[in-house]
Amino acid sequence: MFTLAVASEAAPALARPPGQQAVRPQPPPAPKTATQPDGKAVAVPPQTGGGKPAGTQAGKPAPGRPQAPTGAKAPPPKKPVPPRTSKVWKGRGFAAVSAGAQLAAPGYTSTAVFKVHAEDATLNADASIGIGPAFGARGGVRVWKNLAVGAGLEFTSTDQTLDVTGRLPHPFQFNQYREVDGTASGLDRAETLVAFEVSWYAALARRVDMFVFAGPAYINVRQDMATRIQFTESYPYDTAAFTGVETAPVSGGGIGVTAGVDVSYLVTKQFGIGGGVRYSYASATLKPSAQPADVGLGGLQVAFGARILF
Amino acid sequence: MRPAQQPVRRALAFLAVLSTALLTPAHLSAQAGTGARAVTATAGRDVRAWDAQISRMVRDGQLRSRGEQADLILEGRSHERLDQFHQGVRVFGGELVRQADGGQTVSVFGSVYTGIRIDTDPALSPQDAATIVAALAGAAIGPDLAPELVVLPRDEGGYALTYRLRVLTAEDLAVFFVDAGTGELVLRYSDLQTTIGTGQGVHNDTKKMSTTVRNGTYMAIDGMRPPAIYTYDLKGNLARTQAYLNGLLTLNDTDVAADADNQWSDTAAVDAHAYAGWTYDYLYKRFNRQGLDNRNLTMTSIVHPVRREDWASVPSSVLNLYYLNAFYAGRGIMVYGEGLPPGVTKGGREWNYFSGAIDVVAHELAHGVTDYTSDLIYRNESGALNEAFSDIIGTSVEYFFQQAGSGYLKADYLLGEDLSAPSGAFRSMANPQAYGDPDHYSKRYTGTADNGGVHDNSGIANHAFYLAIEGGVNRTSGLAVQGVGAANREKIEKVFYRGFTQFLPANATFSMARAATLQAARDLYGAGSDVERAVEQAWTAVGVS
Repeated sequence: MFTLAVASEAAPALARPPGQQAVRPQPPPAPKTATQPDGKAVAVPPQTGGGKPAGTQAGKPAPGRPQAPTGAKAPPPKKPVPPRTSKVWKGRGFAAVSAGAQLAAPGYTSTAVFKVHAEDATLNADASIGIGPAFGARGGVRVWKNLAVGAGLEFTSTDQTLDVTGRLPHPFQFNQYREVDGTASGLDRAETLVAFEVSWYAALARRVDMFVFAGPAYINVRQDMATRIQFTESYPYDTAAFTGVETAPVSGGGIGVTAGVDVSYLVTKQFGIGGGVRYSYASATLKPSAQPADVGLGGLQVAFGARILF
Repeated sequence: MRPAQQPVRRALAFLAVLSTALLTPAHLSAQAGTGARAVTATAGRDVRAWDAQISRMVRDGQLRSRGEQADLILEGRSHERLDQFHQGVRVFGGELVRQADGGQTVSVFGSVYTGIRIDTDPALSPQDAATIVAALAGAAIGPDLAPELVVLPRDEGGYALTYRLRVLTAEDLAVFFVDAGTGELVLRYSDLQTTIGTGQGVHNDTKKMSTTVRNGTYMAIDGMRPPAIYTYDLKGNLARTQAYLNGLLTLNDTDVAADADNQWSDTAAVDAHAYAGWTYDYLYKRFNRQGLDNRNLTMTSIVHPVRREDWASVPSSVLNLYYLNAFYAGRGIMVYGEGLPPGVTKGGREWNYFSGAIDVVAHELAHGVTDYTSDLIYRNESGALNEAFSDIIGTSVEYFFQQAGSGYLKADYLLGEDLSAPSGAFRSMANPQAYGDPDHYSKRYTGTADNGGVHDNSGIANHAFYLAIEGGVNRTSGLAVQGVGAANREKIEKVFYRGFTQFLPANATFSMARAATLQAARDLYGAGSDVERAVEQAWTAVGVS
């Protein structure tokens, strides 16, 4: 899941009364240069208004140097565009809520061993995680320049689809197995992410800002995991037909990382809307049966929402 | 507080509510197939959610409590079962079980069905349904056995309004579901609770046992194969054994071999039960035959017909019949000899339970096949062919389930080699003369003993069967046979099975057996095939023309 944060245009600009244009700082004038006969450029000290150039008469232009016509105004110096990163964020913090979807998530494989006909049967599941809704909130406070620290909380709910293969013992003979395979879908999975996040603010345009954030995250998952194969069989039992899986809810969690970027458009001074992407990853060892499974958590999320600045 | 903080709070509160609303249903259960929702709520939020759901469903008439019972182990706990109903009709299999501790719900398990939209007004009356079930079951149904109208979740999806009735038939305890509108059979299943146990055979080999649970006891009743397969333990009661074999009494559940934990240690019962099932499997897989009569006749094995420790005091006839023998008693009944106590020898060998040899078990069951097919008269040449067919099936079953080799639990052309220690045999198909049996028609026994030498002269046909598979030279005629090879034994097995069961008359001769098996070879593999050639050479080599 991903949350958005919008910094108001007012907040990062230099302090000013509401409605007044921000005054952009002017860069110092660049040093003038002149070209010497040998082609090298050397620095030329800026002329002062009352000073005369050496070797010239007052009021007359020096020979060989172009002069502006008398009475014509000199063009105003070109206003330099400051780099966007120079925009200083002066706000105190932000909060955001978002809703979106988890588009991709790491799958996992799991194994289960269970008794069938007085012998061990095996289940191997290759799980893929579907797209599901995601909701979350983020908040942070500015601690230094454009840097903020804060926390994020996210929830996702997705379905799992399992490609299942299994070996089922024969009812009458030892060491004779029936191979089965099939697909089980609709298994539940819900994740909760809690993250400590460091965010860096950057202004992209007049009302468009961006946060890039990253940090450690703890992701908790509660999901169904396959524990047994459901099947049908009939005499002479040399084959079996996969009908589904039995599942057990399993919980666990792990520490990982999260990172993302969101871009926002400020509607008012304090409220904006935006969207972005987040990628999180952690892993957890879940144990639905005697066989533990390493499960990847998190994934790629996109979300849109509101942000608030303060 | 800054004005901006108020919207933050509202937004977070909204988020919390939204997240709960969207995520909570996913936690309640897992979908367990079309329309079925499995419930396993053990954690706080799930339990609370299902507690509320149960209250709603009870209020709406979708759940009805079947009653609450106190926990007999954990004080203060109680268990309530709630049946699912649809428009006043019970949904078969829809049930929740709620455990409470001092009134506080601890767990909820069960399954509920969703999406039921069928009409619950039956066209048939319960009496109509009972009549239909009686006809289907082939059993009379008394007035006290009333069908129950239920909504049946169908395996293929959807639901059916049905009458449910459980009926005890001759072979099964069957549950019938008939459509409440049309009377058609929707579902039938056996309510015999079958299971697979394990047991140690006579040679301490571990086998699987197909058993049935009744009143908490595992019984040697195979409910997984098409025919019922019973193994009775007569506990050494010879009088009861004889009374049963003579039709003077019927055996009951107390006579069935039983075990408390399904880890069987009665080696005689284990082998009799397992090998009977294996023989059925062989007949089915090799010949597509459904049991002894091809109609799934019940197979009954009798073990422990006498007491081993009585061996020294019984008449020799009893010793020879019930201790050192196995026999087919007709009607699908086999009796396996008890053997002798350890340390007691006869013929220089110790004798174990006679169910401990798969070829012996299959041999006796093959007599049942003969009974229901050619019914070869058990004397003279037809009797020898009867015995030979049983030896052929016995050996074929052995090769079907065991690795080729020598010694216990190995497949070979010896008969009964697993019964004694040191290992010996009654007969050899590869070399009949080694056990005093003829390997050539010219050496056949022509006296009257043993019904005209049925156990001796079987060696002639046995050896023909062996030569057709393995090839070789007949020791008497010196004629060589090019067999089909061990890898193709199935072909010769099918030829002899077809010839003996389909073509031979009751008073068949060896010559007829030759012609019958050659016809079978041509039927199955074509005239001039290597199979026909092998069969022809084999019969010629043993002097049968």
